[in-house]
Amino acid sequence: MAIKLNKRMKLLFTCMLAGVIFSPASAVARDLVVVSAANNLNGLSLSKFELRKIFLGYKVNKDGQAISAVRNISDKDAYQLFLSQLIRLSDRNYEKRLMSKTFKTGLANVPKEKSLEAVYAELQRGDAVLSFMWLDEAQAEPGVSVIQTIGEDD
Amino acid sequence: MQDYVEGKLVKLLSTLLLSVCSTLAYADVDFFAFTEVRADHVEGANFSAKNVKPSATLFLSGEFERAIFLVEAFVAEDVESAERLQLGWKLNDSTQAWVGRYHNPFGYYHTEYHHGNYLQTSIARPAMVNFGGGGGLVPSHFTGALLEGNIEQGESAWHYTLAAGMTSQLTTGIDHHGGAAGGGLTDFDIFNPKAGNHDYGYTARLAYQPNMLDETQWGGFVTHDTIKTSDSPKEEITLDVAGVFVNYQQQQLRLISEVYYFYTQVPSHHGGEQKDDFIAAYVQAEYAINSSWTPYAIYGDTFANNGNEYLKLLSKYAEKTKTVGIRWDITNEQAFKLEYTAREFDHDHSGIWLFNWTAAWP
Repeated sequence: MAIKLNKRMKLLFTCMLAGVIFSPASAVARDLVVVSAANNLNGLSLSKFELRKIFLGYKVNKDGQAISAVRNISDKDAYQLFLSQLIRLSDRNYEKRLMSKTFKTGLANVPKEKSLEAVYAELQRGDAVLSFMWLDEAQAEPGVSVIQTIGEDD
Repeated sequence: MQDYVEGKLVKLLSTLLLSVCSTLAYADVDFFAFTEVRADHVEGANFSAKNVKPSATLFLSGEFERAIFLVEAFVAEDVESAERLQLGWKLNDSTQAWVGRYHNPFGYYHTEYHHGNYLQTSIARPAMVNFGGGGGLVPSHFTGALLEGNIEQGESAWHYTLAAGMTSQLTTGIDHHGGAAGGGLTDFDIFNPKAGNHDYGYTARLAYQPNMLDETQWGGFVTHDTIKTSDSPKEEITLDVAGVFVNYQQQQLRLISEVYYFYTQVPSHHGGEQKDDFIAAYVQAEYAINSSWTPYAIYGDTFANNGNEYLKLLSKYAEKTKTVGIRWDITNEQAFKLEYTAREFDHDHSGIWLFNWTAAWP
């Protein structure tokens, strides 16, 4: 039995098809990367444990450099991917862990920045500061180099 | 002479604080505030507005190159106190030396949780690790020097702490219901120093974390405290404690347990002294159903404690406790908690309901 579609239905199906094709979900997957603006960190290799350690507020020394971190919370999806792939804690538990550590020891917290511009500025300010962002955001900012990949969004 | 020493101490502290303030502009500074509104109801007692108590904990810490400082103040309707006031120096990336007033580093709970009630799962602390004024068995704060550090071995780490300083005074009382008149340990007040009321103590602690980035750890400690009493400042109680502790976390499940052995030497009014020992222990279990709801239970008990003169002086200490409670995290920074504790004192028992709202800022 042939199904006859009137003009309105054809238009509706065309719109739905276009929506599926051009929806964000079907966009090319984006890589989330650890970045730095320090020249002396080019070629730096860090294990997942070391990266997790840095973003949990512990100092890691590499080649005589004390590496610290700044959290980028400008993009919710990027932050969630960072939490699930690297930190392996929920947002709530991560915040509590960092706050507890500073409250207990008095040692500095891992700062967080709400805008990408502020993250760029923090990266430029410190000698050996790491953060994370989407690969295309890192490539768009001169002086920011990719250290390694955390994961990719679905 | 004592007034002269106290005056000097206040001047020194004021100078140090001014120095800290002047370096704040250049330091890497962290500031937190924790607020709490707590309601309590002891079974059989009347409930009134006095049972609802707001309080705040203000915390400031900072690093300026190798110099570090930490200030924690507690403010409530009837009390303001500098809980911690520490100035330190980072000897290297894993070792810090501090001077000032700090938490006596014994056990697990007391080193993990301070006054920011939001950070701990339950409302009340396990009885044996309560603060001195609340009936705790071990002096809460020292005023002196502290050395702490980590020794990393791959992914695992050892944490060591050595502390020595002025310890608590035991204020005696007669109330057995945990009321204001009850006896308890009063810590050295850095802004109202009465050095003659306090003697010295020391603590050594060692903890091991199989993975330094996870919460699981276990360890042990020893502490020796000489405690003057408000009744007779010339007579001193000697307290020696050795303890072991474990915090085990596996996904949603968390278990905390501590067992302390106490050896007490308490002078008698009739001359001589009572040398005695007892054991205190607790276990706390928590299960995070999801990111919002966490039910918990705590069981605490005291063993071989019949006739112990030290415990008789600590009338706020509940020798046996059974607690059940639930925590509801409504946002990333706020939680409601409700708990009930059945308490057995030396000659009495009572149940207490606690309800609170706690928050962390910013």
